[in-house]
Amino acid sequence: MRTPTVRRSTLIALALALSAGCALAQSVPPTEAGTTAAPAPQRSIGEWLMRMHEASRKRAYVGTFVVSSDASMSSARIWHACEGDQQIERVDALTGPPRSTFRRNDHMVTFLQDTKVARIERRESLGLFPNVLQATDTSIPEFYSARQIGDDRVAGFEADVVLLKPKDHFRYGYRIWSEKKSGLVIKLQTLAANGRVLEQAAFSELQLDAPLRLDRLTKMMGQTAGYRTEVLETQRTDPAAEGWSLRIPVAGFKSVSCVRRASKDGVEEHGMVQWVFSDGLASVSLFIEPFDAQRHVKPGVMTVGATQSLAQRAEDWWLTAVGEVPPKTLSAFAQALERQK
Amino acid sequence: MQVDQMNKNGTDERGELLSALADGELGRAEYAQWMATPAEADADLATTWAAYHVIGDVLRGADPLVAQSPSGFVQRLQLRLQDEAPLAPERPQAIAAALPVAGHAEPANDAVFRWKLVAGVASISAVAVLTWGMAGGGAGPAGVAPQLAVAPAAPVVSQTVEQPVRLAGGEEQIMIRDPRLDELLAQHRQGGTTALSLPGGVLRSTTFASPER
Repeated sequence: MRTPTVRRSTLIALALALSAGCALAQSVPPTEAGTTAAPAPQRSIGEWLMRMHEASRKRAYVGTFVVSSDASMSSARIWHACEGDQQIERVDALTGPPRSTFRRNDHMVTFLQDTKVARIERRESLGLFPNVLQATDTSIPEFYSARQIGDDRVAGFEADVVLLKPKDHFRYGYRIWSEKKSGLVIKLQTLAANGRVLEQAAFSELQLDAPLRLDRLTKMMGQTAGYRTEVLETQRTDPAAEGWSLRIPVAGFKSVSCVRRASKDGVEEHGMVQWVFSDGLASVSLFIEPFDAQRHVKPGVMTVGATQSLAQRAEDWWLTAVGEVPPKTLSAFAQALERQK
Repeated sequence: MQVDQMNKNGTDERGELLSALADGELGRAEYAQWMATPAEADADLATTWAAYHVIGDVLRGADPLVAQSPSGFVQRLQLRLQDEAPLAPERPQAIAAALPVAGHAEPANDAVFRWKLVAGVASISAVAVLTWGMAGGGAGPAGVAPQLAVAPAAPVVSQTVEQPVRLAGGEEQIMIRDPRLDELLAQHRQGGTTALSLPGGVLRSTTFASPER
């Protein structure tokens, strides 16, 4: 019979149209934070970053991390253990001269195995695992947007792929593979404005929630027998007290710390000031020291992977600006830096 | 046939004995047996014996024995090339000779022999300059002829080849490693001032700790 068939097919068509309409209605237009209607819970950029940051502080893991760019590739073995507020991390360089770096709270020891030197550094107040998001998280959404662009599997773990897109040309973009359950960053790509990958850092092998003991790693950190110890002093200081200021602030970047390092020969004048700025994701360090014609002979820009460095003379001073930012940002810093005294 | 078979077996046996003798594996009794048989019996054995020694020398890399064949080839090649050389110098003459024949209409200066001579000399010198330029122009006018002779044999040698200096991946990535800069980069990295410090914070420092080789 004809009529029921037609009615049925019409019903089916109607049903399809309705469901399509429902699907369209349900897709949420991007909010100002740039989230999408993904099957996974919608997250703002702050939420993504908080998850990633917490995972790196609160989870124990062991793995092999590889950093590569057009020009180079290097890898390291990492151990991270934590207990309550205490965190300890050990990084053994697998490429280049062998060195082991231990970081525990505000205490850092680097064992240079080829020269048998143990460099001990204590960082006042800044700490090595600061909760940076608290200080700068308000401005991150102004300068970056986050969007989940897919799923992938890295080092045996399922991950969400999140694109962090910069809103201006003073910073780079990032593609982050965040492990689905914990949020730990297992792969990170730094992207130039044209989408080119400047640097890629990823775990090639990872054991999450590994049974690492904080006390064991701490013990290893203290074993300086057979090494000549060098203690590096870094003092927290104030840029204004040092006589430096930024005439025009660079969009998004806030001053986060300023330290003074004594020089190797112990003479105070030769010490170096490191003034660090950050926009939450990228950081720029301005290293300022007195100009010395013998040592400071090569001004210019150098690129290593995603990190740019700019060295130039500023009257009696030598400035080296370093950061994972485009060269124009470093130039902006160099131009804005002003001597007060 | 049986005799042939026996003879063949005998030859094989002697061949094996020879091989063992060459390897120094001949036993006392076998050695006595070998020495008992007259040497002239097998002309082939003498050739085989010589062959074993050649093989041994080649394996041990003894030069005099090996060099004969390749050097002979090179000499023969050089002779062939020398045979070919005389062709090139003939070109200027060929072109100069062709000039008077080429035009049907009489050139204006044809009647005056002096001008014909000048035209001929001019064309020869023009061709000589061209060929000299082609051959690399190093030796000067006097050296044109030898250069032409050399050119067909080794055209690459006469041209100056500039080896471009290859830079890895682009200008800004020339690794003129400055240990002080490495130090600064490491200090920058260990700052841990961003949300993306992750393992990457310290890890990126490992990239710089290892100098570019």
